[in-house]
Amino acid sequence: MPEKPSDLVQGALDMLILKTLALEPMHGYGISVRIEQMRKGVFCLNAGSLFLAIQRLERDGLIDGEWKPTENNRRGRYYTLTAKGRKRLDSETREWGRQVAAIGRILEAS
Amino acid sequence: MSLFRNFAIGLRSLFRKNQVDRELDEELGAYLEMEAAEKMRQGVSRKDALREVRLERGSLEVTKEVVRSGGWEFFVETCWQDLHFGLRMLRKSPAFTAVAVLTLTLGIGANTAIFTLLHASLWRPLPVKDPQEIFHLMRTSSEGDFAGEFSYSFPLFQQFSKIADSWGEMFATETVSSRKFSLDTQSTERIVGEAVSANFFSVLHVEPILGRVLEPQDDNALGGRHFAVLSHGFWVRRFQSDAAILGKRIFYDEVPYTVVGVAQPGFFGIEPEVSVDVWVPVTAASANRGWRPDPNINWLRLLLRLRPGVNVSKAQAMFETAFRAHVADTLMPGASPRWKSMLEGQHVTLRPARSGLASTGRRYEKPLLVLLAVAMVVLLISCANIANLILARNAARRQEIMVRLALGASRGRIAWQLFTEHFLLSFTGAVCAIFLSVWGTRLLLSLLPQSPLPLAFDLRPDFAVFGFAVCTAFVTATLFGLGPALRASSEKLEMSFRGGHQITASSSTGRLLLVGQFALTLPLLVGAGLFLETLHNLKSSDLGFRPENVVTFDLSFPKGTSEDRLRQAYAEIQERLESHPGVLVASYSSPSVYGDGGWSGRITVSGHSTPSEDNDVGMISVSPGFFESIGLGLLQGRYLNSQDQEERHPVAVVNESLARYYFGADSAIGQRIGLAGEPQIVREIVGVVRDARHYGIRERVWRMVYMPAGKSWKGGSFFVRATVGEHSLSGIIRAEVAASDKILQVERIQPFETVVNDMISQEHLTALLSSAFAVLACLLAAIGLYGVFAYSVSRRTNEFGIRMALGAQRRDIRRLVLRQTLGVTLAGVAIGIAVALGLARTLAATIAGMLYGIQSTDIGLFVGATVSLMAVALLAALLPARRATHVDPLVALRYE
Repeated sequence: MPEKPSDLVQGALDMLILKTLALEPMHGYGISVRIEQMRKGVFCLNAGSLFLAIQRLERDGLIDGEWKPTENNRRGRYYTLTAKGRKRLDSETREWGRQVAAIGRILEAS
Repeated sequence: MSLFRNFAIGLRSLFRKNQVDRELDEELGAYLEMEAAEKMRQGVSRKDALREVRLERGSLEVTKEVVRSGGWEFFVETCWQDLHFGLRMLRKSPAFTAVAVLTLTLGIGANTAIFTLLHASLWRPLPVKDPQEIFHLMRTSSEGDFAGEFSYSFPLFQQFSKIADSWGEMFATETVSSRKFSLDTQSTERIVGEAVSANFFSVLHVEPILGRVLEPQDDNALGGRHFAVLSHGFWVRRFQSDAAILGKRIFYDEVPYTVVGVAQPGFFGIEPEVSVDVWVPVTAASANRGWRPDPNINWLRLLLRLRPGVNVSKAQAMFETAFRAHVADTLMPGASPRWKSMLEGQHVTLRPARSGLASTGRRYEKPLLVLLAVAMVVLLISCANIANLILARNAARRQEIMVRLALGASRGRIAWQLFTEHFLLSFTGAVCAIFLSVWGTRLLLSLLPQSPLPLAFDLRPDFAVFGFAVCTAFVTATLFGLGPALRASSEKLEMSFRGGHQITASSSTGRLLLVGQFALTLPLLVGAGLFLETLHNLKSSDLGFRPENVVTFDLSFPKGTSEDRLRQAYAEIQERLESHPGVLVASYSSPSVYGDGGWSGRITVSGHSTPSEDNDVGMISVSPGFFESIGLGLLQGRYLNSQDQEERHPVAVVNESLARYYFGADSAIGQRIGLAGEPQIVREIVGVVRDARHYGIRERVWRMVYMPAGKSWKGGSFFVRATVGEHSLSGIIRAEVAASDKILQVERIQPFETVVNDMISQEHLTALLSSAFAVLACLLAAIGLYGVFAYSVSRRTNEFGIRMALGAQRRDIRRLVLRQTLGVTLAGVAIGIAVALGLARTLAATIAGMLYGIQSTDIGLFVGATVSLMAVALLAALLPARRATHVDPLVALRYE
């Protein structure tokens, strides 16, 4: 029985969104497509979780939202990374790296 | 920054709800559209694509809910909805709401009223800078007859001030008193004044609003500078805020003072119960009263502001050492043996005085704390009643709750909603309670005895009072509401849709609550019994005299009035009063024969060796007719008459304690005694009167000597025994005093009984309120019992019908119901007795001072309380039992 795609921990989802937006401003669908591409279907991204995370990040001032016309001539909300968001992404990335390395060492040791 | 952003976005979605919703719709719509378009590109039909998207990503509505519930505003919105819904539900059952809110209003209101009084007099910090640094250096003795608080002399204050310099700064004040005031020399006005050391204002950091306050150099000049500082309230009230008062002369205590300033608004002095009108330097005040800086004239209270971080116990030890040295070096030489032993037992201690020095409040602190505890227990009992009401109501609302559960409401959500409803009840109760407590505190105050000073509490509810009421409401709501809310929300779904009637567990919870109610009510009954018995014992204890139908009053007159003129005036007033047909006998004495005042001194008895060291007696100068007017009975010899007043042949009347102490079985009549203060005079005892408790019902009986009010007369109180009522009598008194001598003024006409009763006003207050609360508790428990069993009988109609159909007699049914109520009551009472006994044991030492002539573990009281509570329970149970026996089996079986 194939395992169900596991849920993403909240902090990790936040980081992935920030990482995605670090490349270019994007709308919600774009973010989800990019995350799924990056992770090659390991996770299934629920719309609820995605937009909840976006709302949270926006309220924390890490990203900014703006209405713009989309490629198929509708109105879409595009998100940009703020300076604060970029700083947070950097620090989180470093922290993540440290943790992964530490856990890796423990797993290898045993 | 991000907090603010979060708040702003939240506010936007609260107040521009439609727009925010539209935007969310649009964003999510676009998202799903794009995903569907992607799928359609891969050749799926539009309908299938949309379906797939919904399956993979979740439905649009659910997603919207999830996103919306992420913000803090969602919580606010939920509470708001719950409040709305709660209000609607409460409006739908007005009877339930009214009963619950009324119960809570009374319960919380009683608590808030008592709290307000305690807070206003004892707990609220003084309105000065850093009040927590203010300490009171108390001089107390805890030994027997001398127990109490004492004042300091001016020299001792000066000595202590120097010691205090290393810890902070010390200031002195006299006890606030009511004194004459005028702008010229002729006036009958009285104001509240306080003599203070000149650094009083600077230590307290009180600023002038006009002119200046007293400054340290105002005390330096010999006899003090006659400067006065007015309080802001007095300046506004009496002088209409006229700035021209500065530099003007006023007469305070019949001496001229120059007004130098007005203190800052809101500053009333250091006694929260009294509002001071004028402050003058202690040096000036003592000079006016003819007091030299004598170490034996004690009249000052000492307070100090300690510097932050000072070790209080170290400072106290320092003062104690200095005090002992002062006692040994200065006071002990030349002190009488009695005064010596008194000094031995005295100590000084530092007590925090951040809330000032409330004398009335301190006297009533213990009774009020006991009453607060009692009121809380009553509130607890009413909580149980409300919880029972809610349980019954929730049973009726079960269908509604089940439908909401079935429609997908979470259990937590339902519990929260129900709790909101209960909090709403409690909060409404608290708001009403605050209004009620304003009236309640006035009622409480009116139960306190009239004091010579106008009580000027600031009783307006402040933040602390609001906080107390709201906290009480919250705790109450949790107590009575949380249980039922959790219970109602955890019902099993499948059970309830089975329909029909079912035995619910709620009645067993109800019974448990009842047991608790009875267990709490019994200690209240016992307590009320103790206080009532105490009051009864005090009232029926023999005073030795009869205060009924006697009116007493004082006279005041200008300083320096000659003794001759006074003596003539007093005699004339006595004669004039006695000439009225309604007046039986009038007399006067000095000092007044009841209360705090009193002279004592050593006695020497000619021809008898004095039995021991203790030769102090109480002394009162009295006019002819004194014993007759206060109703003090004669045992031997005769009363004093008008010839005795001339003092050609000095005589005295003694009481039976004195006669027994010195003369034993011999007759006291004809014996000769000498008294301290009149070394040249030998008095012959001409009469023996009964023992009277002049100094308070609880005081021991003193050995007394009654002397004729002779040549030296400095004024005293009148006693008039009359057949006419107090009202017309006071008219007569005023008229006769005015007719006799213009310089005399009548002060404080009051029934002698009032004076006597005021001495036991604490006991009166405690007994009255604790029995009122106990009756209330009984009533609540009875209502609770009735409610639970009436409900259970109505639910068991069917069962009773079957029983009767099978041949049970009415008697059996009644017995069945009564047995159950009896079980509950007995369990509650048994626990209650245990609780009450435990309390009586642990609190015995604390409340012993509040009792008189009864032990806290009095068997009779426990039996009485148990029996009366059982009787109340039986009465409450009879109604439901009756209803159960009147079940018609046919109707009951059709009931389903």
